[in-house]
Amino acid sequence: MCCFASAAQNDTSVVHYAGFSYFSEGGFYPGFAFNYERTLLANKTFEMTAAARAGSYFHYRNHTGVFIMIQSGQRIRLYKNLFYEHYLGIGYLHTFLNGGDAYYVDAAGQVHKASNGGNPHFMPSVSFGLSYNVDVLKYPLRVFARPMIFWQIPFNRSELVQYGFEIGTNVRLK
Amino acid sequence: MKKLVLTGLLFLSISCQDDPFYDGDFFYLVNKDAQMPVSVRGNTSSGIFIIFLHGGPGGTALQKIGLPAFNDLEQSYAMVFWDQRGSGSSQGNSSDKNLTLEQFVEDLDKLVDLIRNKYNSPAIFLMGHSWGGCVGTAYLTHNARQAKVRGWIEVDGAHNNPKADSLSLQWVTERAASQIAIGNNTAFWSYVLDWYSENPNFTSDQIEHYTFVEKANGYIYDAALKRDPEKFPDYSFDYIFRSPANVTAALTNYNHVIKNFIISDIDLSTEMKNITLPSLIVWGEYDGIIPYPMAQHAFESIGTTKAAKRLLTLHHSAHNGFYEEPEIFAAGVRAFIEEFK
Repeated sequence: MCCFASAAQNDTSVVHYAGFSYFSEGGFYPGFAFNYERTLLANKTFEMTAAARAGSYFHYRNHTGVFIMIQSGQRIRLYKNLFYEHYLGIGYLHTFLNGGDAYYVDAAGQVHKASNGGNPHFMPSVSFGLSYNVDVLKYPLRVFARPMIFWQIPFNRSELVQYGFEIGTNVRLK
Repeated sequence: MKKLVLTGLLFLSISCQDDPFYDGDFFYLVNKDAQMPVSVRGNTSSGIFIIFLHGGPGGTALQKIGLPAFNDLEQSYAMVFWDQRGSGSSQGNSSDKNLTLEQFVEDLDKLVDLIRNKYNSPAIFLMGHSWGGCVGTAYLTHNARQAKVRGWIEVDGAHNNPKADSLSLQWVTERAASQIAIGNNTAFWSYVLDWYSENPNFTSDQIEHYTFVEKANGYIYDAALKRDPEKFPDYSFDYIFRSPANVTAALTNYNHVIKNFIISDIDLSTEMKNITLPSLIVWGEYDGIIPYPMAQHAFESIGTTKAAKRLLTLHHSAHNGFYEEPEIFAAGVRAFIEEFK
């Protein structure tokens, strides 16, 4: 990794990307994310990247998640425009009950609707996957697919490990 | 690309909501930092609601949605599937201090009040399976709470855990000895006997015991049943990827509750005489975790008159009769409810 970083310092031009992705929790529960990525160091075979994401997903009759996260990642060229990449992230996840009203019952047995203010969670994450650099209508794009593991802390006095999948595209900003 | 993404999202959204998991009413009961999902399915216009109390502690009721026995009962009655605090797909941040039988009973009381309020005071039958049998029994030993309920259905229930543990130990060791006698997996069953010798003060809170009961078919009598996706859809594709349940949350909750909630000392035998409402005891003859003699114990301990007590023995079942003999299970429950509704 040190040699990658050393080589990368040959080109320190900062490049910005922004885009959109389909983000699913648990494989099939749909969502989306807006992405911003900034290439910090790069050469022909390696890049170091910082990223920020904001998104949401919907697990019907379970919860809606809204998150923001920052990530640090690396991209390694596998073949021509194909890259392997991995990211470590930390973030904030807020989950709201989904699919039905919430009720509480007071000591006298009277039923009341409860507010759905949601639950706050710390959200570390690890993602890895493949991306492909391609030019579309002269715009340099990155198309990527990344499985993700993220944590939902706390969750019933424990730590919940969730899995997700992200597929999307980022476009280079001028 | 945009059209493709939108079409995919639409397809996923539609396909999820066509799923049987999404039938009926769905809402949450909130109490003391627990947000507990409640799914009400079936014939709500019947005015008869069966509240299913799942096992564990730490199990899940949502996973039981779609079982043939319950689909059958839903034709005639409403079934209420409730994931208890810290269990199944329950959310929130429920304190470990609230992992007590008293708190679970309080939650159930609030659920009963909520069902009565939302559905115009229907006739409520409680159906408690395994640990749910403990929650239901404890709930009904209080007269004011019992007055809210029309009948009690205990299914392989955990109403006296020290006695059940003792019988379960005997059940497993007898099967281990018989397997050794016929030369079947001798090394494993010898290890089982050695384990009990080295753990003379064993309780069912020790996870090893569950493994041994499972190996001896004490949960599901016919092991082949688990390969039948119609009768045993527990980890079907739909449940894992398309149901409202969160499978990773259910496993996380189970592991947390089972470690932090010791139930092996709970014995409700004495208080059971306070239960005087119509009661049906349903038990698998080959139950290895709460063995069959506990059925007779429940039948005799409940204070209900003999005229309003019924015992249904499932002769080809272990601990989960509603999976194993769904037709007989549903017919027995229906006959009981029709008699006492």
